[in-house]
Formats: sequence, C-alpha cells, structure tokens
Amino acid sequence: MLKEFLKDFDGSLIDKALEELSQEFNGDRGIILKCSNQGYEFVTNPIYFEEVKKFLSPKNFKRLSQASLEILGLLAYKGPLTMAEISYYRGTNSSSTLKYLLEKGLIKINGKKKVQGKTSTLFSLSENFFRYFNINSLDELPSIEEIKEVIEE
Amino acid sequence: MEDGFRIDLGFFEGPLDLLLFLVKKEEVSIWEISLTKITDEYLRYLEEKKFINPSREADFLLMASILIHLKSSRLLPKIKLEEGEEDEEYALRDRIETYGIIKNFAFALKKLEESVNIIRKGKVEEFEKQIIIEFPSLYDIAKAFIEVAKRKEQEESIPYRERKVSIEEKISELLSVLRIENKIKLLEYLENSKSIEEIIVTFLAVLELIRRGIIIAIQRREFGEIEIKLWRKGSKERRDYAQRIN
Repeated sequence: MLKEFLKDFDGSLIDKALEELSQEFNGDRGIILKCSNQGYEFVTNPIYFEEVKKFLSPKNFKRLSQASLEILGLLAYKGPLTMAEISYYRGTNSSSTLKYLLEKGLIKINGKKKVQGKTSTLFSLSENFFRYFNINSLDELPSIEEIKEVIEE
Repeated sequence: MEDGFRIDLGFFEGPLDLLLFLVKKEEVSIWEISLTKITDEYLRYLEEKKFINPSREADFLLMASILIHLKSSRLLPKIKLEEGEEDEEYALRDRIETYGIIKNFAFALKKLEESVNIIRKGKVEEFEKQIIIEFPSLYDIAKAFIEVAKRKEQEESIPYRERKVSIEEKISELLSVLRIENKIKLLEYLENSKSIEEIIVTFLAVLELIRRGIIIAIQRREFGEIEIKLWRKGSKERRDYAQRIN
C-alpha cells in the first residue's frame, strides 16, 4: 500500500530522508534507526539493551528450542525443503516444531514440490529469520567448510 | 516442543546421533566402521537400558543392516552394487553428513540468538503491568535502603546497636505483664515486636514458660485467638486441663 502511494515519488528523496533520519537517530539515543539488508527499522539502542530488558517480561526473551534451531540450521544449509525431508534429515518427526516456526514467522512457505506424484509444501527461511538473529545474510553463519573442519577434529 | 523421541543418556541421543557419535569416536569414515564394534556397543547399550523405544530401535536396526549390507558388499570382490544400493549408500552418507552439519548450525544460531542486543517490540500491556507489579522490586528498594544506611553510618558514625532481648528478659517481661493484665493475646503482643529476632525470642520464651508449667496457652475455638495466662492453682483453666488429661 505504501509502495502504491509512493510510486510517483522520487526515490532519491526517500533515500535522502532516510539518511537524515539515520543521522538523527544515532549515537546514544534510546531508539536508533537500523539499516540492514532487510531495510530500515527503528530498534532500541544496543548500548541500553540491559536497561531496556529490565522493563520487559522474560517472555520477550524466550529462546528457541533445540528442535527449532536444528530445523533453521537445516534450512540454512539445504535451502527449501518439504516437511518429510526435514523429518528425514533430523531422524524425527518435525511437524509441530515447523508449525511453531511458521507462527513465529521465522520460516515461510516457499512454493510446492512434486514428489512421486504427491504435491508437498516447501519451507524456507523468512526475512524475519535474518531480523531475528540480527544478521544480514547467511554469510554471517559459519561456512560449511568451517563446520566440516570442526566435525573432522 | 521437543520431540519425546529422544532418550538422553548423556553421551548420545537418537539413532542418527548414535551412529554419528560412534563414527566420530572411531575417527574413521563410515566406510571403515568396525561393524562388530558398533554391534557390541549397541548391544551393551541395550543391556543397560530398562525400557526401549521400539520405533527407535527399529530405526537403528534398519541403519545397522544397511551398513552391514554395504560393508559385506564391499568386502566381497567383483560384486557390483546394484543401482538402488548405490543410491542408498549415497543417501545414508548424505543424511549423516547433513545431520552433523545442522547440529553445528544449530549451535551457531543459538550463540547468535544469545548475542542479539536490540529490541524491536515488547507488548505495551506487559510493559505497564511490569512497572506496577515488579518495578522496582522489593529487593531493589531494600538494596537502596541498605546503601543509604551504609552511607549514613560512614558520614555520621553514630554508634547504633539494636538492643538484643534475651529469652530470660522476655520471660520476666511476659510475667510482669501477666501479673497486671491477667492474660495476653499472643498475636497482638507479637505485633509490637521490633524485629523478627524479638518475635522468635518471644515465641521461645512462651514455650519455655509453658514447659515450666508457669503459664498456659489457650485457644477457645479452632483457628481462634491464642491467649496466654498464668497457670494458677485452682483456676478454671487448670481444672479444665486436669479433666481433659484424666
């Protein structure tokens, strides 16, 4: 909707406005404008993290389960997979964890795939995944080579 | 959220883990695994267990038999693997390798998750509730008081020491009150205590006086108020008590 509204706008004007905002929301301010591959967003300043944290219930900082982390790691490594493939690689049923990750918006449905005449849904990492882990791309995770080295040791 | 499929034995969990763990422990590729060793270790593991999960053990048996099949095919010369078997071999290797990789990825993601130091949103209702109920906590307030008290002490250095009441002192206090007032309502009396310590001392003093047979504690009905009175010869209470125990 915003895109529609802004379609006649000069893009450079928006860039300039964002640039100005970034400069203003910077340094030791409580809220800063964060720029990443996922775009711009207002977030709390990292230097006040511990203070801000005190005001929020621990519910806001609930950590992901081992099962969730494994599925995200699998999708980061293998790309889009079906539920059956995910369960296969993990050696255990993963449907409830997948549902949770979908609800949390960390994964998304990414098309369909036909396996032996049966159509299955493909799952992949969502944009929100990168926001959640505060990274720009998968390059910020250890590379497969690095991991393989660790396993070899 | 966690799948109830795993049994935690400290050093391994799940059939794939078991294999991976053993592969790692042997420090050989899956092509050089000693199947006897794996079988022995698996049997020992089964013996140690009181309960087994049939579907898990079936998984292990399936994989072990694939391994045995692959290995025996390798050991016998000039027998080419059939097409399906080669696929199987590849699939198994892929699965084990992938499993090791996602375990490591999961660990890396966990570390990342812990390092996130920005907040995008926190529910406003929770935020308000938090301030009313938990912020600042009693502990915070107490801490502030202690700090101020410490500072004051340093500044003025007024020798202030709470007077400690001994049990004997409390006993004579109780007795002198009882001589004048006939009875003491225990709860009311305790509420005038200056410290927890004094409450405890009073409690011990009351018990001591009861033990020595000097006073009696009376509760006229269930959950009613407890009163203490002097244990006088010929008093109504003493007659009641004598009747009860006879």
